Amino acid sequence: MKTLSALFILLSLSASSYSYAEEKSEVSLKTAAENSVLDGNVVKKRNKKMKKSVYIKPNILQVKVIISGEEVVIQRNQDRKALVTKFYQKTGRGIIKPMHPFKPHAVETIAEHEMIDYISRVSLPEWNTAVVDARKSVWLTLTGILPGATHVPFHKFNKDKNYAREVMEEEFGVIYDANGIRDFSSAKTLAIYCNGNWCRMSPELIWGLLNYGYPAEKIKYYRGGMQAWQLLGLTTVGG
Amino acid sequence: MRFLFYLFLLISVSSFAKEVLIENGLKSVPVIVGDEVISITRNQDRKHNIMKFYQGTWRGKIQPLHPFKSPLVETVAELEVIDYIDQISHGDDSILIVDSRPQSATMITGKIPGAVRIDTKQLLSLEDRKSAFKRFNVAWKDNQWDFSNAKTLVLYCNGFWCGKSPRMIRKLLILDYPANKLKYYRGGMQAWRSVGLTTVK
Repeated sequence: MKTLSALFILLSLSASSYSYAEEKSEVSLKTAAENSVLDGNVVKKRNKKMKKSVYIKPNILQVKVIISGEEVVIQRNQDRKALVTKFYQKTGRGIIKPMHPFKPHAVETIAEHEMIDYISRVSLPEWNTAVVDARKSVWLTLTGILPGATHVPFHKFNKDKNYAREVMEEEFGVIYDANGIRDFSSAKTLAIYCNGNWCRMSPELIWGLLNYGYPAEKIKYYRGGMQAWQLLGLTTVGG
Repeated sequence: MRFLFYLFLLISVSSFAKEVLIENGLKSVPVIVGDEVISITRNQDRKHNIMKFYQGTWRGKIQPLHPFKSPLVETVAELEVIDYIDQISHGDDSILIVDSRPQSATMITGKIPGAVRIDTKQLLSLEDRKSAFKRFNVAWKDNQWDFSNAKTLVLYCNGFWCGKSPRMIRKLLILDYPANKLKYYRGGMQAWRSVGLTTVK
């Protein structure tokens, strides 16, 4: 019990010194060190920690991708005080999805590194790839969209046959013959996401695609979704 | 305008009253931890936020979904972990949930019900390793480890950006722990708490 309370005191102390660092700029911290109000070593250590870059992987700080002719830099928020948006702090949403919701269909579950790869492939025709946001429009204005993502609202896709055909023909490279039979041989690889591990929107869109006969091995499910993306401070567009 | 306002009010009131479920039709999973019965549920307060510690976006480096390419270690998620805990509380002692963080971290953020705290440090010296491996049901026989009865370990740490459980899995793989008996819960405590699931001290 004593150790516990000691730990809490320590914690609150470190928290308070941290908030001190938040208020003061670097310059004033230096002067504080000069005035030896604070131990110089502590200040140095803290400055070093605050300046340390936030990495995607070891040694990889940012990934440059081309989105419709423009260069977009995907990186994590370098601000070491940044918090995730209020919106994704909530714990009471949706129903938890399993790791592989589409068993026995061979839909692969992917994570951030793979998603960044798929985003960088969107502008490269030889990869034949699309990143798909399956959410309703409201969420896009609230939280933004992944760089290079195509917006395909799941409810519209699953209800409206004409819209589904239009999307599959124009965006996903599915070929319809005169009898309306679909040919998926040159269909794009789709990396699909929604709000996160509790969100049903991208699973619904994936079920919709599977029902149309879209090959499961060409569908990737980014389960972490926008919540995991923003919890890691990664770049979003708009919103 | 007023109509919209009332509609919004109605929706928000009804959504606050709705129960927060784990899966369709599943509100809680009662499990036996030690001699206590703990029910794993999600926080029913729809205004509840994840704790401040996990709101920060800058920590660590992002882990791949499968950090251990060969041999392949399965990556699991919340529902699978709950399933493992359920099996343990039904008397299956071939499974162990391992929290691979230091005590300072588990004190702040709690543990998954039924988890034991064993970190990589406890595998470094031979003496420590023996006591840790005893809990994994790995015997020291003829000057080598016998993994034939080894427990299935479900390892987790802080989350997507935390390297502690991957490091421990790598260490265990070097020590020849069978890869099919290791499970990596990548979401970790952050994902566990981000859906408001029950934690214990």
